[in-house]
Amino acid sequence: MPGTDKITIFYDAMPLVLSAGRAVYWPEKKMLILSDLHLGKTGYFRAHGIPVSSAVLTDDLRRLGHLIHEFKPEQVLVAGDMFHHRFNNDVHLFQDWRQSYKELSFLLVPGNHDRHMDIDYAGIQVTVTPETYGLGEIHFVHEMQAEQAGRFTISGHLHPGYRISGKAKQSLCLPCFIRGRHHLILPAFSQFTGLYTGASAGHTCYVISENKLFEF
Amino acid sequence: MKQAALLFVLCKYILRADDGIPEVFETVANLPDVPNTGDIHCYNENIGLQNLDAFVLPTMRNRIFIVNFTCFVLSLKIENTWGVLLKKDRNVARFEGSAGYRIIDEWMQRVSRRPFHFQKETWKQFENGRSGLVIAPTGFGKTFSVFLALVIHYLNHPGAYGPGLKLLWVTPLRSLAKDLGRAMKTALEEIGLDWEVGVRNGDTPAAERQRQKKKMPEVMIITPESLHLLFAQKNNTALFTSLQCIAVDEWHELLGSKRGVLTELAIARLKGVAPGLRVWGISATIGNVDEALEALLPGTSGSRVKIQAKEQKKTSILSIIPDHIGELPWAGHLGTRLAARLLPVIEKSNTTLIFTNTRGQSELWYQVLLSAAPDLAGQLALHHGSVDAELRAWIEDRLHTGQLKVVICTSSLDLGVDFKPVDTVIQIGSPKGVARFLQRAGRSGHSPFETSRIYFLPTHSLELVEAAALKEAAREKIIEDRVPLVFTFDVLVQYLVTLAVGEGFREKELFEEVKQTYCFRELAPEEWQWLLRFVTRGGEVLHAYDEFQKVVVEEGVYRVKSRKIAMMHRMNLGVIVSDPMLKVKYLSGGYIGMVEEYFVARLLPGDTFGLAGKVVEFVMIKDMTVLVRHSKAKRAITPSWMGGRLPLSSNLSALLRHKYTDALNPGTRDRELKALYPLFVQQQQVSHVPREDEFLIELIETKDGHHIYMYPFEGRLVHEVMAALVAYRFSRIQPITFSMAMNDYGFELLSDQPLKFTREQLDTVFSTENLTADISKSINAAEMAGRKFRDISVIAGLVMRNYAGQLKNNKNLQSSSGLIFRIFEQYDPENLLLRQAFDEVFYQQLEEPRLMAALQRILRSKIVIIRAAAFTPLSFPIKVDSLRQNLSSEELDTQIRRMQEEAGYKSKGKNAGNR
Repeated sequence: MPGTDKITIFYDAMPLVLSAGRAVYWPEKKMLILSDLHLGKTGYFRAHGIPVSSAVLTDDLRRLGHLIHEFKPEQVLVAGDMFHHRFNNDVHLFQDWRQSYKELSFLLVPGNHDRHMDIDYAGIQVTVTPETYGLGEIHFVHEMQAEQAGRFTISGHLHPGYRISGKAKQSLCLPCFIRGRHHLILPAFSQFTGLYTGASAGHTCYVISENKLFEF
Repeated sequence: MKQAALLFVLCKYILRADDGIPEVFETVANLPDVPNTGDIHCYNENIGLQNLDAFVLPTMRNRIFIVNFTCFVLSLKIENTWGVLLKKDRNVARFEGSAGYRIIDEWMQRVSRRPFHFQKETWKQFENGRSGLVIAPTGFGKTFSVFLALVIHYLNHPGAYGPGLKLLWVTPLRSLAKDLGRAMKTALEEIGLDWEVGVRNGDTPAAERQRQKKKMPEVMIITPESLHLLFAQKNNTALFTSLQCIAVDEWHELLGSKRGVLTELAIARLKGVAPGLRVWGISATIGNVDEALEALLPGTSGSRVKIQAKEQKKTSILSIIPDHIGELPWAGHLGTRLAARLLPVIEKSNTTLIFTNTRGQSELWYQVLLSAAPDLAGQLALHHGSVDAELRAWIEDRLHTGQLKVVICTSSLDLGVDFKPVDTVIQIGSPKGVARFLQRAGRSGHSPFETSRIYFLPTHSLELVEAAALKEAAREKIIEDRVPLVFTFDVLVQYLVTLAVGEGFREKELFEEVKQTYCFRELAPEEWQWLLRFVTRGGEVLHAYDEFQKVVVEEGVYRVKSRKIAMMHRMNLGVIVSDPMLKVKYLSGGYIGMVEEYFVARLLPGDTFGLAGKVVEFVMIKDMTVLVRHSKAKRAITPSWMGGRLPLSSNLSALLRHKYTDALNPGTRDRELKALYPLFVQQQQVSHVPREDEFLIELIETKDGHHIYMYPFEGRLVHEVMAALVAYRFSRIQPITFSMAMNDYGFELLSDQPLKFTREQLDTVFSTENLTADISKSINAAEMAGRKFRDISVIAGLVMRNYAGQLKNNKNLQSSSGLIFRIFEQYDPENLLLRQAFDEVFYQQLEEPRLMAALQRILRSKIVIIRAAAFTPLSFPIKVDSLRQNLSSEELDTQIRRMQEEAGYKSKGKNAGNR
């Protein structure tokens, strides 16, 4: 199964498991953390006449299912941009999928896409937190402003990517985790997202290639 | 009586010969009571009336070969006068007696013109209801051939014309429209016709468009894109019901591009809307005229005509050759060392156009010429695609009035209106193709019977061989083909939506219509169904909650219902996809030009760069505008714009190989080869000069490693693929890795270990077996296809073009072609647009057929393998090219000089290893 490669990083001896499945597992709280799910993005494109297969969405949800199966978390936290834009029928797909994971609690730290959305979060059993959400030593926020010492910030928003350049002008751009001293930026969970390569300089990057993780 | 009957038979053939179908016929032999050929006369404009015996050998007496004669007449003894002749070709006589013809003839005499034969021919064929293609050099009144044909027909049959639009004039160039319209308007006024000539393109103001919609002008000059935009309007059919003719100007320019496909689709549609519509193309000479005709008028070979002007443009080609060949570098691409030699040429000319191949090169030349001749300041201008449009228009105006002495330009001035004061053209560096070279030459001395004068300035010594090849090509009229595109599904997807936005379409009727085009004549029903599903359901994968919305089917009619989608489609219509460009503006105000976004992305505040002949300092980007301030810096980086490097055309490369055969033969009449003789002698001493039937491989060992040079002379693009292919196949023989470099003449494989191979192994390396599979393994075809998909995705409406500011409120629809490509590859691998991307890679970019032909030629050649002690004159430019990527131009210059010296001293003798 893709996405099984794992690397454990530590913040003050607290372990966090980075998965090539574009998510982090926090053993202490039995929490699976991911960001930028952009549910409904394919639907939004399709509603505007751009034929992006909805299989992308079902595939994203299936991958999430695999991760839940693997780590058996009690809660899933989405660090923002869970839904792409307004309410659309893709929400129903999520609802159907949610039925299979009734026991699991879902937390959403709202991001730029999640604001002003007329989604009945309670109806789909998703708890919306304040825009900055602290739990133990970790602060969750969608878009990190500046690193703060004394606490560990996990954020999303950037869709970080890492560019690997080879000979003959060939280059490859892959999604990655960016690890700073006091923060971690998550890759976008959805496959249907672009990559931003401007943030990787000067930090440790964990680059995801298929089902492997590489440290740069 | 018998003679009269024979006359009648001959007249029938007269007509057929007239149609431009040269054929052998045996009438005389087969007719009863064959007359002596002495009784038969033939006529054409050049020779007048002549006795046929003058042209027919006695042995051929009974078989008359008709090629070029307008008319054959049997001179009857009884009424043997010239007057009989007119009566014989009754059709011509009747036409020339028609009211319309007489009016035009009188008008032409009034304005001191005489119709050319091809013009008269076009008028006559048009009168007969024919469609066709006119091929004539520029400056000979191509426009008036088709335009006046319609006017004559109208004057002769005014009752056949309804009110409104009569002639659609499709032109690829916006800039041409205004001048063309003015010329037509003037002619109409002088003839005395109260017709309106309208222009419609991206520059037409909205109020004017509205006015046109209410009342269409009689003649409309339009671009293919604007024509498709008309199709996207409600009730557009009504605009075209009186249309009599669609004329496609510069068909050779449109032909090989997706804009040509837009034109083909428009023709097919208009044929259905306006029955009896004539379709006329106008083209310059190209290699595949018959294919061009077929693409314009597919499947009508019986009724269409090809009218080729006999008039020819005289061109004189002069190479600028240094006194001593050592003055020219062995490698390089700027050519500035010979700048001083241009000054006398400029001096004695009225106005000179200097063509360079890249925008960067033109910027550089501007600086060089200005410092070589400071008094040119104010009379010297720079014109290329990134120069601000207003400034370009200003330059063009001053070219018309002769206020500029020199304009340095790129392909930006290849086409368009002629500038009368221009009497000299200079081409810097290889133009890479015969057609482009002659086109540029034609920008000087453009009126009929004047001679075009073009100077060729080589940027490095071997380019002189190209000059010799170009001369021969011009002499022998070996001009490139423009290959029409087929199966461009992206354009078809766009077209389906265009029609659905407009009046809607029925699928069966449209399928038949689309299949009438050359591009889609072999479109399979399955492909058609796929396209329909793609625009109605968004492809194959569906789920229960799908809300895909684009085209909907109601009572069998395909329509776009959403206003938003319709609006987005209109905004994105077209097939020209360019890199996002940013405007460059002084902080103090005033636009300078445009640069590509990716170039700006690399700049840091304080960096200087050259644009439109000015050196500026980058300050910041604000509101999609690059703000700069004036810089005093002497040197600045020049933006390296994309698409700068053109590949060598196959025609030119074949000629080039031929010229190398002559290179060591000092008796040749090519001045260029004579000048190069010392260099070829050196090449022969240290290695070998390949003849046409030979294939040269050079093995050179340096401290960098083991170099293998091969010289197929097929152009950079083919070499790129061939190098990868050969490297891949060598690595199967012996595990080895190479780095590669190439230019238009050959390619280099460099490795840290020596390579051993036998002749048999070489045969497998150049084999054409498993070619496609091996190419796929040796190059990253998927990555290349991904790049091709960039245009496809925009044309098919998958990625919205980001017009500065306009789509700002639609951030949620932003995506990239790369992302969609990946999604398609993963979830929709059967997607036709994906297939198109790979096809474009293999057929257009990799030119697989050309690669195949090249490999076959190599296998037939005598392979000459030479071990050279140092870089040879042939290998040197390739080596330099590989260095260029990592070095600034200054460092490069120094390094080239050092290497050139080394090569000169070191290479004393060679180890020939002919096998």
